[in-house]
Amino acid sequence: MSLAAMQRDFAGWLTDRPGSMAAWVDGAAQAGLDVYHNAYHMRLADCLHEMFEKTALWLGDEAFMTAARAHIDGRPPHGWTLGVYGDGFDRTLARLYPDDREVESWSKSWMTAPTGRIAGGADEMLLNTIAERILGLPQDHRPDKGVAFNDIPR
Amino acid sequence: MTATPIASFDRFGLGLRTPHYQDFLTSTAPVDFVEVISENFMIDGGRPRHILDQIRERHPVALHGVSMSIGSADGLDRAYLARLKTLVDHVDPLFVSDHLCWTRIAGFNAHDLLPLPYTEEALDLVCANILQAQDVLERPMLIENPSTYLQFTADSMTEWQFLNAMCARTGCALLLDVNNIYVSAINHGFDPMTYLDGVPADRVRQIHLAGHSQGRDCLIDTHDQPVPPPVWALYAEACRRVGPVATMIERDDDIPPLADLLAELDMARAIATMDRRRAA
Ligand SMILES: [Fe+2]
Repeated sequence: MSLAAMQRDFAGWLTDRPGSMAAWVDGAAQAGLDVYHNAYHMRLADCLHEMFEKTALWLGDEAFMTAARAHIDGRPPHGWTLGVYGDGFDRTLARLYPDDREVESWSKSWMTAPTGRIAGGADEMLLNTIAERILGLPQDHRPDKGVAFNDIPR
Repeated sequence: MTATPIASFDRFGLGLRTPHYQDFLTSTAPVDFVEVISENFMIDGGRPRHILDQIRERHPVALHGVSMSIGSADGLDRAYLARLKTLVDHVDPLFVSDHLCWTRIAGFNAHDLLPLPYTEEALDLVCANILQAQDVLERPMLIENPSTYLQFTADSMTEWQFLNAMCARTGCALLLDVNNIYVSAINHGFDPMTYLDGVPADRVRQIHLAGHSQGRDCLIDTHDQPVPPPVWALYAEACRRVGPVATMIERDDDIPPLADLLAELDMARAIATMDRRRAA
């Protein structure tokens, strides 16, 4: 087996890209593949929900999850920290709700209050601000716990 | 490389979680050590680091990582390693641990602990990555057995055989998660006692305890409930085999008041001491 090829196929499975895990597992693994697929999406949706709590209250959970799903599909995470995963979610929301000024203002509030996003500032400063808001509080980043279960819309 | 130079620390701790920050900062919680998620503190300065510094003044700290991705076919992320090394130098932790899994490939990061096939190819790669990490960190690591939800058709050895070879080749030690053994055993239909008998007991330096949930088709390692009876039973068996090692309880969802977790930790103490008395 080529580990690199398997891992690329697994990433493809998680992100709904064409390709197949069938070369690497048998039919009994389908339930497990579903668990990983679900956990990947739920974790990112939870992360967005925590960062954009007020937007979620305004939209309601179902609409928020649909928006989160659109964002996750368009922007799979790259870095080792989820601290910056909310970057650009305001643009996803603007695309889905082009005429909704309330959504626009809520979606920008997590970055602007109370310390303000440091426009053009040093990366570290920005990271600190984000760390305080996301990594320190309110919830720790814990991908080693599994995520149950299964209600994110596909 | 054979023997691991990591000293044993035969004590009982808890994970540091945000709802308990105040408890840990304003009182001396009766724990012998505190485990923190490395990535939450791998950013210089700021409130998280300030909190960690205050905790460190009161307790020994274990650094538990979730994003090293020692199973990545791509190799390790050097910038990540450099940040972790800075944190390790700052904290002077009891242990530095991460998981037998992969999280990252070709620039994509799943933020989940994804399963590895247990093959010679994966073993070579994992060992090379661990050796590189230990080289940068200038200390041996603890590697934790994951909960898994599928197995690969290419598997040519069991997880415990993989762990044995990995420890022998790299000098790393083990963080044995008893709940993960139980969850994987149920999901894949092996006997958890066979697993316990198969791991190199003299390499275990820390034990994790946690709760899980029944998913639609599998047990899921959710860390959202008290440690259940079968996991306590397995812990007693683990104590019998590995002797006195650091034990801690992982609770990450539906987090109860600290007092409840301290009561669970007393249960762990009682089980471990019972075993130590029997051994004496
Ligand atoms: Fe664990």
